[in-house]
Amino acid sequence: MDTIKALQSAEDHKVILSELRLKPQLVKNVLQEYKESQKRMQHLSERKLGLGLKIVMWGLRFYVVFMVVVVAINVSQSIH
Amino acid sequence: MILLRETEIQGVKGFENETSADMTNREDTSRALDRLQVLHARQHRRWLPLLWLLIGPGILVMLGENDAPSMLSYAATGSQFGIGFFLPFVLLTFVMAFIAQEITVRLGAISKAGHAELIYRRFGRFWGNFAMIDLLFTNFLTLVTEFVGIVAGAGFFGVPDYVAVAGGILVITGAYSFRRYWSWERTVLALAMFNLIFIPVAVMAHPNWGAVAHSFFTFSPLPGGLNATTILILLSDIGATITPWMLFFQQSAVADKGLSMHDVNQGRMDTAIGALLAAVAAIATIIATAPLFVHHMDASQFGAAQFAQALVPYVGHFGSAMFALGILEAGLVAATTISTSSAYAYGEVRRQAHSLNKLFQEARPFYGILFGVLLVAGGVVAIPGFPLEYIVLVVNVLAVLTMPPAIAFLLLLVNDQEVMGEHKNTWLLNALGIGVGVFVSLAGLLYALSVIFPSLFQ
Repeated sequence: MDTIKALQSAEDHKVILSELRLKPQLVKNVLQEYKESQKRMQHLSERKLGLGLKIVMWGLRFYVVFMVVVVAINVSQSIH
Repeated sequence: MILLRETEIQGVKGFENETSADMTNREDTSRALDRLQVLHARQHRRWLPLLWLLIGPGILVMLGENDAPSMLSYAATGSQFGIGFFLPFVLLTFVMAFIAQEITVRLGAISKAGHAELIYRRFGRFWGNFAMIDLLFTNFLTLVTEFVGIVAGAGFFGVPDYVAVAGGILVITGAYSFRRYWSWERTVLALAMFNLIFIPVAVMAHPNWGAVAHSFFTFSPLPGGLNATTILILLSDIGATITPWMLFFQQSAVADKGLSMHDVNQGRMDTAIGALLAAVAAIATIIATAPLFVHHMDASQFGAAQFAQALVPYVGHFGSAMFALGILEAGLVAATTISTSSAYAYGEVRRQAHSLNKLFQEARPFYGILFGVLLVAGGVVAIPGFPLEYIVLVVNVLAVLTMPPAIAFLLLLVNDQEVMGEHKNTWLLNALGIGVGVFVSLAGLLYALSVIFPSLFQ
């Protein structure tokens, strides 16, 4: 725990980083949850959208395209 | 209450026994250093230091969204409508922003993945490409307007355009020179605090504080009622608060920072503090330019520099200078966060290194995109005769119009059992999220009606 306090109070982060690099097991333990979550996400499979969701997503896609056209009309109106 | 998981405690206690001289990479050691400090603060129940360690992504994203076009939108609001309806309305938009951004905290903390990566992994390349096109297109346009703001803010002090663009790029680049997420975050946070400079400007405008309080209770007055101009300002103010890049940035930043599921409450506080600070700055900007409305000044075509000049009789030269500085800061911070969100998304999609804890040599495509979009956006602003005013006009509107699909993906992901496990949305959070999506979609449809059938709103 003294080393943790020393780590916290030290102003030179480069020194701390280089010390940590020599302690891979400590780094591994501290980042265990992080690495486990990353691994879980890497094995995530593609989700098939049901018909209802596909309709919603396509509807929103057409909404965006429609709105971009509306914005272009608005800009054209502003110019003229 | 268990403050540390068993493995975390073992990690903290076991370091004295380390004998291996193997090197670990910079990204892991940087993140481990940050996590050790968090573990130490939590273990010793030092809650304020813990909060200090964990805040960042939420405040950055909210103050970053108070970018140059947003502050100009609020300035236009104050100059055209004065103190009234829009003060509580802007507060409401930040409540909606908090609802959306809180989801990204949980997504990032649980999955340790960025938003773009999750969309691609879960929904495939086809839908991922749609999300990316929206993001990169709106991000680029927004970046151009950030440089417009930087040029306008610096121009108030007599700085030439090309010097302002070059100086802005230099300052932003400097923030990345630390090559640690923590250092970059703290630097940009310090810069982002200058967004609060609009508060003293508002005070110097000597507003009627009674009218300010009255407006929050009554949502009135709304001069002119619901016409085409009001609808455009409404949409622009929504787009000044809720945009797709915020979702991508905060989730990626939460993952890069290394927040864990135990840090979600602090992440929520971070987002709430950010929303509150940004809302106060936004409302202050409206109040600061309200004198222009009171004195019937036509500010509908004003840019940042004109607003600062027009405010001189009401807030003095010093107040106007602070207003211009605020626009400059807004452009600088937002250019930093938006270019980072583009770089994060690119790296996640291409499954390449994408962390601010990595050196330039270790993540060339990530930093290449980051600095590349900055240079191109800055270069566009320097082109003589480029119709920048139209880009400024549409960028906030476009941002809100591209939100509905972004919110849909967000809600699908946060309700995904495989992604979130036991941390998926409750029915209340789903209701709030859907409410935000519906509100934004209806606002967009109202805008479309006002453009296609203008006679309905005269």
